[in-house]
Order: sequence, then structure tokens, then C-alpha cells
Amino acid sequence: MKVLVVDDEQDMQMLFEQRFRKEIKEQKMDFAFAISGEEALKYLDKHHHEAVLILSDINMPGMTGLELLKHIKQKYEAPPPVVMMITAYGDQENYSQAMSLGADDFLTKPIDFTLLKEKLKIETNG
Amino acid sequence: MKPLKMLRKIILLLLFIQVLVQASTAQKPDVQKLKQLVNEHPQQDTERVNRLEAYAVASRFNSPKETFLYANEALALARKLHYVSGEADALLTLSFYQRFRSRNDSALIYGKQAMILFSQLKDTIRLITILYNMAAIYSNSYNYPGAISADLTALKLSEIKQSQKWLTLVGSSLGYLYLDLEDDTKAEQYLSRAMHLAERANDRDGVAHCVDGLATLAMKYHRWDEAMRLYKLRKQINIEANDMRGLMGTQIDIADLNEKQGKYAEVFPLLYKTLEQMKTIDPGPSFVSYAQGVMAKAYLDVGKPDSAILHGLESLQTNQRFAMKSSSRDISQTLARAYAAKGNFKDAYHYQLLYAYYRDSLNNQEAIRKTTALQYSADLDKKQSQITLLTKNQELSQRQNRQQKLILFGTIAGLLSVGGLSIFLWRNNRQKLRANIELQQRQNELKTTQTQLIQSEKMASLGELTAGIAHEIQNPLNFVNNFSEVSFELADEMKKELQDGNKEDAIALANDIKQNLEKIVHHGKRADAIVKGMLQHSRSSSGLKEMTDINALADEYLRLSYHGLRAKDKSFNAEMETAWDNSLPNIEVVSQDVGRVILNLFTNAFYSVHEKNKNAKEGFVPMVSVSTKKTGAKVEIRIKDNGSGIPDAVIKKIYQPFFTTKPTGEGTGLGLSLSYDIVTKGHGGELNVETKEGEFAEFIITLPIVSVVNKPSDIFNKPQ
Repeated sequence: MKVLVVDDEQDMQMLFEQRFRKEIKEQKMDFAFAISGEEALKYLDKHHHEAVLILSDINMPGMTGLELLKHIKQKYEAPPPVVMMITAYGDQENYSQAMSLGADDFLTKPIDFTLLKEKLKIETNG
Repeated sequence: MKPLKMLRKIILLLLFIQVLVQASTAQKPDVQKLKQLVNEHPQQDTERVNRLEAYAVASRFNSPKETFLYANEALALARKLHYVSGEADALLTLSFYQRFRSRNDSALIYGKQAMILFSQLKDTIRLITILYNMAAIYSNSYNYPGAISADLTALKLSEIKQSQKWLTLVGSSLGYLYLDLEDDTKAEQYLSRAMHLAERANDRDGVAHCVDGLATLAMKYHRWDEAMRLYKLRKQINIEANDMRGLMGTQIDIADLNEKQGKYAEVFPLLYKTLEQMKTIDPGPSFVSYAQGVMAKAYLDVGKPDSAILHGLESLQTNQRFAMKSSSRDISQTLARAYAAKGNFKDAYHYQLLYAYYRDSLNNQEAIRKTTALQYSADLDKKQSQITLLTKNQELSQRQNRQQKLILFGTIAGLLSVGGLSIFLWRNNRQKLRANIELQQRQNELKTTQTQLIQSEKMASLGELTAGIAHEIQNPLNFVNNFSEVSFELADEMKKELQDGNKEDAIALANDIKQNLEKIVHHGKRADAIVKGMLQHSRSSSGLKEMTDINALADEYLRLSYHGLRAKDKSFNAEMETAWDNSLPNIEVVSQDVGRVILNLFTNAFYSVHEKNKNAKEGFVPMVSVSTKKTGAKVEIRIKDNGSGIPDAVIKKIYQPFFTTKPTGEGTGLGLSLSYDIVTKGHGGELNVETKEGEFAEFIITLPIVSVVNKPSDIFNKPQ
């Protein structure tokens, strides 16, 4: 499965690569990284054919994660890719906004990787 | 004043319980039974949320800790189940719970969340309830504009709902706010109306609510008979409710009233009886000191200064211990008079100074608050009258419209031959209609402005900044937690590779671990920097002037505003430059207030450079700089930004309340006005600005090194 991680925190790449090192080694999962919403859209344009799952931060300079979510869910034909939001701002407003824009899940930082892995498992099997 | 406020709180508490209990169940349920109901239903569903909630509300009287625990469980479960109305109810309960424990910040956070949910649910009555609570929270934290706007919104909703109970409750709450602000005309209007509604509906709780405020007003304007009538009414209510504490308060009030009228024969027996009752039921220190204060005054007036001094000193001690300033002020004056009556002028002078100190300190604090709130209130009135005017215009043109429509139909029916005239009239009518729509739009715009005015908080809210920072810290924490956990696993793997003799793999793993540890240290420091800004800020404000290191204060608020804004908007960035004058002496200021001023100027500066940066050419470096300098007997703080500056056209208006250049909803227009008052009126300093449009703005705060507000600090600290 291809997963695109969108976060302006650069260290996120290293963290994901370590956290999923087994899955990457066994080639069960493949990660791509973008540090902004704009970059993520560019990536999706190029790799349109690969079905991806997107994990996106919300507070980012330039295009926010919510704008990215809106773009993806409105632009891509059915079924649109699965988008999970991961944010430090787990308040009600962010949550309801993400949900109303069609987010598939909403996780808060610090990321609980055990939980994330379970959710990813469900997404790939379902 | 203080015991009155406490008494009011108790009545509010009783009433709140009643309201909530009535809302959840028809009869007053057995608290233990409710707990049992919770235990009998361990399934994690909405029914459990409701049961948790019912018990949380019922237990608040006798076991408030349980309230907190159960409401929190209800909240967590409701959120998990996405059971919105359960979540909103739990938030409501928690907001009230925190307010009664004077945890205003926390109460506010719960309240705001509840408010959003209740408006989504269109549950108007609960929305009124939470607005009413928000008003009380704002009032407790002296944010009078916030309180008034919350109450006004609640009042409007109560009118729509035609709820007498809430009209009375919210109306009286507004009355008390204006009473605190000493706008007695408005206070009397609101309270009398609330009382009238309550009496007409025979609503005893409502009456109990209004009685205190009306009595205070009667006392203030020496309408003794009316005051006595109101006190007797309250006494009756106290007895009906079996409220011993309230009854004691009323008795002291009656004694005070008699004392003021010189009916000493009735004062002493009542006071001694009350003091005796207090030995069995302890109503708290403020009641005792209040009784002793009245006693001291009465003894002084009947020519027994020795007894007056005895009671007065005890009362003062209690007042000081619990920081009850206005009571301390009154009793200091009584003591000064008593010592003077004895010819002991040394002590009389001492207490006279103490009296003056309390008086000035209270006046200063009050003045700033009152100015803002009253200006706010005046502005609100102005907006209201504009709306009324527009509504009238609209009605007028609607009437004209109707008339022309009639003529039009008449013409068409009767005079088909004069089609030309019909068309003319029809056109005319269309134009009128268009004008009408335009008027409607303008009216709507004004109404929106009013709502925004009501809802926006009046200062760049510190609470919001710190809440943002609390979130922001999750980012570094994410790395600290996860890199530590993953290193733990890597260490295990390394051990295994070593055992298997794979030296190279082991070294690779060791390198990974080392790299992770570097990340942990880096993000740990990042979190530390964020927290520092927050912790230093959370010191409580005494409202008193204290020796303050201005460099440290400015540095702290620079950091706070930078992190706060970053937390809100990631795209925000600016360079910062500091130039501290290390020879600056510590000066006497109310550090929280001056901090607010500095914070405000920083926030404005950052805002300005950020806005300019959005449209700026390549190469523009947003920059905010701060410097301090000692100049003669003054200290100068300069805050400069290379943003878009202030145009000449508006420079004269910047200190006017409600003047803002920010888009609607972003600025309140009170920051600079309040800052100006704090610097000039509060500290005898100056606030000046130098600017060039499009290039820079520099605000200069000048504060005197020797505090100009006379404060004999040794007197305050001296034991009696």
C-alpha cells in the first residue's frame, strides 16, 4: 500500500521510516512524503494511478490540511482516496470541520502508532 | 459589598441546581439512587451518558468531586459516541462546576465549547443557560464588556422564547453588572423589570434574585423604608428556603440599615444574636467580619470608641487575610475615626493612610474597567439606534410600496387604456423594491456588526494565546514520545544483532539510535521554550504594583506573543531583534497590566509585518524589534516594526475605543485604547508613536521610575 504523509515538520519522514521499518522492509508498505499541501497535490497529479492513502497535518504554511482535504475529496472521482487528518489541534472545531469536509479519520498528536497501524490495517482490508 | 456578593453567589448556586434538576427529572431524585442507576448500566452507550450526567448534576451539592468525575466520564463517552447533546450537557455542567470553584479560565473553555454545540443543536434554553454562566465567568474575571454582551444575547434569546424565568434571571444578572459598574440608572431599570416579571409570575427564586440589588440601590440613595421592605422580603425568603447562612447575612444587613438610621437600640441585640448563631453554623469569614464591621461603626456612633476599636481590628484582620479590599477600606476609616475620638492621633493617622491606600488602589482598578465597559455599552447603544433608524426607513418605504401596489392594481383593473401610466408606476415600484432590498442588506450588515461586537472579546485574549500554545506543544511532544519508543525497540534489535555477531548491522542500529536521541533533545528543547512562555505568564495578578524587571517582562511577552501567533497560524514568521539596557532599574508597576500593553503592541507589530509580507516583494524581511532605555527619571520601551505603518489620516484616532483597521471580526479596536489608559492613567506614563506610512511604526512607552501613584507600602505591611 502506498501512503502519502503530508506534514510541514521535516522530521516526520524519519519518524515514519523508523516506525514502519518492518513494513517497509517486507514491502508491505511504501511511503511518500510532502511538506506542504501544494506539494502533496503535485505528487497526486503525477501518481494518479497509484491508489494512495493520505495522512495529513492540518496547520501548515500556505495551503492548510483542511484545504488539501477539500481539494482531494472534491476533485478526485469516486471513490476518492482515503484521507486521515493528524493534528496537534484536536479541538471540536477542527474535528467537525475535518469531518464535514469528508475526512475518513481524525487522529491527534502525539501520534499513537499502534492505533495508527490498526487503522491502516482496517483501511487496507476494508 | 462583599458579603452581598457572596450571598448572591449562594442564591445563584441554589437556583442553578434547581434549574438543572428540574430540567433532567420532574421530581427531585434521590442522589444515591441516581448513582445506583449509573452502576446498573455499565454499557458504553448514550443511556449511560444520560445517567452519568443526571448523577453528576445531582451530586454537586454534597459531593462536588463526584460531579467532576462523572461529568468528565459523561463527556469522554459522549464524545466517543458522537452523542452531541450529551457532550454539550456535560460541558455545561463542567463549566458551572469550574465557575463555582473560581477556575474562570477552565470554566470559559468548557463554556465556549458548550455554546457552539447548543447553537448547533438549536437548543435555545440551554444556550441561554450557558450564556448566563459565561456572563458570570466574565464578570468574575472583570471582563465587563464580555459579561454584558453574553447577557444581552441571552436576554434576546429569552425574549424570543418568552421565558419569564430566564428573562428575570438574565435581566437581574445585567442589573448586577451595571451595579458593579455604578451605572445605577441602568441597574435599576434591569432589576425592577426582572423583579416585576418575577412577582407577576409568583416566581420566588426570581424575586430572591432581584431583591439584593434593589436593596443595595435603595441603601445607596438613602431610601431607608424601601430598603427595609426589601430586606424583610429577603428574610422571609431565607426562612422559606431554610437558608441559615442567607438569614444571617440578611440580619446583618438589617442591623446595618438600622445603624445608618441611628436606631442603635435595634442594632446591638440583632448583631449579638447573629454572632451567637454563627458559633453553631459557620457562614465563613466574610460574614463574621461584616458583622463586626457594623458593630464597630455602631459602637463608635454611640460614643464607645474602645469597643469599636476592638471589633474593628478583628474585622480588619479577617478582611486583610482574605484580601477583601473594599471591606478593608471601610473598616480602616472606622478605625481612624475611633482612634481620633480617643485622641490617639498617631494610630488615627496610620489608619487614615491605610484607608486612603485602599481607596486609591480600588479606584484605580475600577476606573480602567469601568471606562472600557461603559464605552462599550455606549457604543452598543449607538449601533442600536442606527438599527432602529434604518428599520424605520425600511418600514416607511414598505408602506409607500404597499400604497403604490394598490394604485397599480387599481390602474390595471380600471384603466387598461392608460397602460403607459401603469408601466410607469410598475417601474417606479420596482425601483422602490430594489431600494428596499438595499436597505434590508444594510440593516443586516449593521446587525452583523453588532453581533460581532457583542461576541468578539475585548482584548487580544491571553487565554486564547495560551490555549494555542498548549496545542502547539503536542508537535515536539510527538517526536519526543515516538523517537524514544522507537529507540527502545532499536536497542533491543541491536542487542540481538550483537548476540548473533552481526557487528555491522549493530553499528548501523547504534547510529540510528544516536540520531534519534539528537532529535529527542532538539524537540525537548523546543517544547521547553514553548512552555517557558506559558508558565511565566500564568502567575496570578495581584493588581498591585510591584518592583518589576522591565527587560525580563518585555522579553517574556515577546516570546509569548510570537509563539501564540505561530500556534494560530503556521505561515506566520518574523525576525526579532532585542536591545536591552542592562542598567535599567526595577520599577514599580502592575506587571500584568503593563505586560498586556506590551503584548498588545507586539501583537499589533507582528500583525502588521505579517500583512505586509503577504503582498511584499521578494527580499522583504519582516522584523519586529524591541529596545529599552533609561532616560533621566524615566524608562523607555520602544517596540518597532517594519510593517505598513500608520496613515496620517488615522493616527489621531488610534487610541479611540473601537477604532481598528483590521478586517471586521479580527480586531476589537480596544487594544490601544486600553493600553493608553493603563500607561497614562494607571502608571502616570506616556504612550507615543512614530511612524511613516508604508515603512515602519514605532510605539514608545515611557514610565516614571518613581511610581507617581502615592502608595505608603510600609503601612500596608506593618502589623497592627
